[in-house]
Amino acid sequence: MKEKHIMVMGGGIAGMTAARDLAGFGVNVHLIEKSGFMGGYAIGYTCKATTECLQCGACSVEKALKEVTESPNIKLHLSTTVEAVTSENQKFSAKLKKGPFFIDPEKCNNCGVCYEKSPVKGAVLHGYSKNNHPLYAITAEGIQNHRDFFASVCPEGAISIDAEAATETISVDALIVATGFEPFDPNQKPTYRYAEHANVITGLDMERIKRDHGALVRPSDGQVPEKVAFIQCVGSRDERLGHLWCSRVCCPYALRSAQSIKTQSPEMDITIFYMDIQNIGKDFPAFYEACKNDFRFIRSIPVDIFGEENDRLKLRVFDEAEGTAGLETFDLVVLSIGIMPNPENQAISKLLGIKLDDDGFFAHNDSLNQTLTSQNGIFVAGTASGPNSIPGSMAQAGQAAGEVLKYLGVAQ
Amino acid sequence: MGEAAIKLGGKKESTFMDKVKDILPDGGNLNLCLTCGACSSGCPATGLEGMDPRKFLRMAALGLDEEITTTPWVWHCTMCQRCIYVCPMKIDIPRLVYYARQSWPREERPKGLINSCDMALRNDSCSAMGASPDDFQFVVEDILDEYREAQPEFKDMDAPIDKEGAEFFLNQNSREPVTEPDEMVPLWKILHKAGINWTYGSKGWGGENYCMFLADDDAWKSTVAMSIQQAKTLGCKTYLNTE
Repeated sequence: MKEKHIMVMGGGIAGMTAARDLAGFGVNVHLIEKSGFMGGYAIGYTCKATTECLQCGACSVEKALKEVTESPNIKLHLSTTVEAVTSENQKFSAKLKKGPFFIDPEKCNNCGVCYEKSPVKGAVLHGYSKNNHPLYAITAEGIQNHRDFFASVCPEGAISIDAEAATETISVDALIVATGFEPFDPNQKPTYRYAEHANVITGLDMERIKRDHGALVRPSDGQVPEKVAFIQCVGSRDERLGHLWCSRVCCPYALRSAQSIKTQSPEMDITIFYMDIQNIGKDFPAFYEACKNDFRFIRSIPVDIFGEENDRLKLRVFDEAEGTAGLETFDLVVLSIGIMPNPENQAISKLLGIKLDDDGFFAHNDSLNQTLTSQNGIFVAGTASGPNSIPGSMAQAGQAAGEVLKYLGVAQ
Repeated sequence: MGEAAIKLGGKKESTFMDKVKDILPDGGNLNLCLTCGACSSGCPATGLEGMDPRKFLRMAALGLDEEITTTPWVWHCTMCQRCIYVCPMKIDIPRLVYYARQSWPREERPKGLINSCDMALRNDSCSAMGASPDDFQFVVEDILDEYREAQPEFKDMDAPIDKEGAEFFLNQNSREPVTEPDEMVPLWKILHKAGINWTYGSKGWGGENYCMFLADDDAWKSTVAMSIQQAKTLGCKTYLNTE
C-alpha cells in the first residue's frame, strides 16, 4: 500500500478516536488542535461513578489521549489552526499556522512554576491530563503583558518569549472534521442571572469544581451545599434562541452527576427541574427509575432566581399538583447547559467548502451515514455534526475512520 | 408493508384555539408547547382562580372551549407578557388570553374595565378618569407654575401642550393629573435637564388604554387613533408611550 496521510481537525474525543483508529491501520495522521492541549472539553469531565461505574465515558478520553500521544503514526499539531485548504487530483493541501510555542517541549519538565507564580490568572493555562506535554501553555497576551516575568521564571530555560508562529503545508488524502461544539452561554437566559450569582453554575462549571475540589462545593464559600437544584434544557429546545435541538447529553450528565455527588454526600437534598427526561440508551431507563427514589423531580422549568442571604438562591417554583407558585431556597443551582454549534463552523464550512445544516452543525450528505459531508474525501465526526455523548462521538469517529479507509481503498 | 392507516370519521370542529391560530402570525406558535412550565413559573397570576398559563394553554389545546372562554382568570392576567418572554417556544399565550377576554359579552366583563373604557370614549382626552382637555391643561399649567416658583433651578422648565413641531409626543396616565399631580413633575424635570423637545396633546393625552384591557377592539382603536392623530397634527416625529 502506498503511504496514506489524513488530516484530522480537532483534538477532542472524536478527533482522537478517529486518529487512533486510522493509525491502527498504518495510516499517517496529522491531528490538528487549536488549543495547547489534546482532549477537548471531554478531558475535563469527571468520572461519575457511584459505588459502581455509570458508564459516562469520561475515562475513555484519558485512554484515547494516551494512545494518540504515544502512537508513532500520529503527528500532533498543538496550538495549530488550518489557514487554507486546496484540493487537486484527490489530494488536499493544507496550510497550517503553528504556534507560537512559548514553551519548548524538549526542555519543559512540567514543574508548574510558571503557572503557580504567574502574575495574572489566565496567562498560563494548564491541561487536565498528565498525558498532555507540555502540561502548561502560555497565552500570547500573557507573554506580551509580562515579558520580564516569563523571560526569567522557568528554571529549565524552556520559555522563549520571542517565539513566533510558523507555517507548514501538509499534503493529505482525506480530512476528518472533528471540531466539536461550544457549551451554551447561560447569559443568554438572563433571568437566571448566571453572571451575578456565584452559586448559579453550569454543568461544565460543576465538572471543573469537582475536578479541582474532589467534590461539588459552592463557588462562594467552598462549602458542600445541602440543597441543590438542577435546571434542565438550558439553551436547548429553544425556538426563541433558534436552538430547536435536544442536546442529548444534559439529562444523562445531570442525573449521573447528581448520583455521584449524592454518593459522596448522602444527606444532600437534590431537586431536578425538567420538562421531560431524555430516557434513552440501554441502561438509562433502569437508572432513571432508581434516580426517582433519590431525587425530587419537578416537571416545570423555573425562570426566576433571586439572591438571598449567605449567597443562597431563591427560586420561584411552580408546583403542578397544587397549581400554585412559591419561593424555595437552594444553596446551589446547576444549569444543565446544552451543546451548541462551534461558532467557527461558518468559517470552517467556507474553508473546506462543506455545508452546514439549518442549526449550524455540519450537514450529513447521506441521512443513513452521518460521517459523510457534502464534499468527497471530507468526513465529519463527533459534536461537529450535532449533539453527542462521549460514547456516541467515539462510535461516530470510529465509523468516520472506517469510511476514510474505504475511501482510500485501504479497507473494503 | 403494513396495513393502511385507519382514518377516524367525523369532521373536527373548529375550536377556540384554531380560530386564534388563524388570526396570529405563525399561529402564535400555539401548537409548539413542550409543557415545560416556564410560563407558569414566571407568571404573577399563577394559581389564581385555579389557573396558570400552562394549564390554560393545555386546556385550549384540548378543545375545552367552554372552560377557556368562561374562566375569570383571563381578567387577573395583567397582560405583562412575561409568559411569552420566558417561553422557549415563543408561544403567544397573551394573545390567547386576549381573545378569550374578547369572547365574553361586553356587559359581563369586569365593571371597572367597562367603566374606564366608556369614560375614555366620552371626550377627546381619552382619559379613563373622564378628565377633559381643559381640566388637563389647567392642572398642568397650575403645577408647572408652582414648581417654577418654588424651585428656581427649574424656573425655565416647560410642560407644553400642543406644541407644534416638538420631537416627542408624550401621553400621560390620567391618575397623575387627576389625583397625584405632583407625580408628573419628575419626568418633566428629566426631560428639561436632558433638553428634550416634547409636548403633550390636548387630545388623546390619556395613555392608560383601558379599552385594550377590556379587549374592546373598536373602542381601543378609536382612543389610540385620537392620540396618534394629534401627534401627527402637531408634526411630532416620535410617539413616546409612557404607559
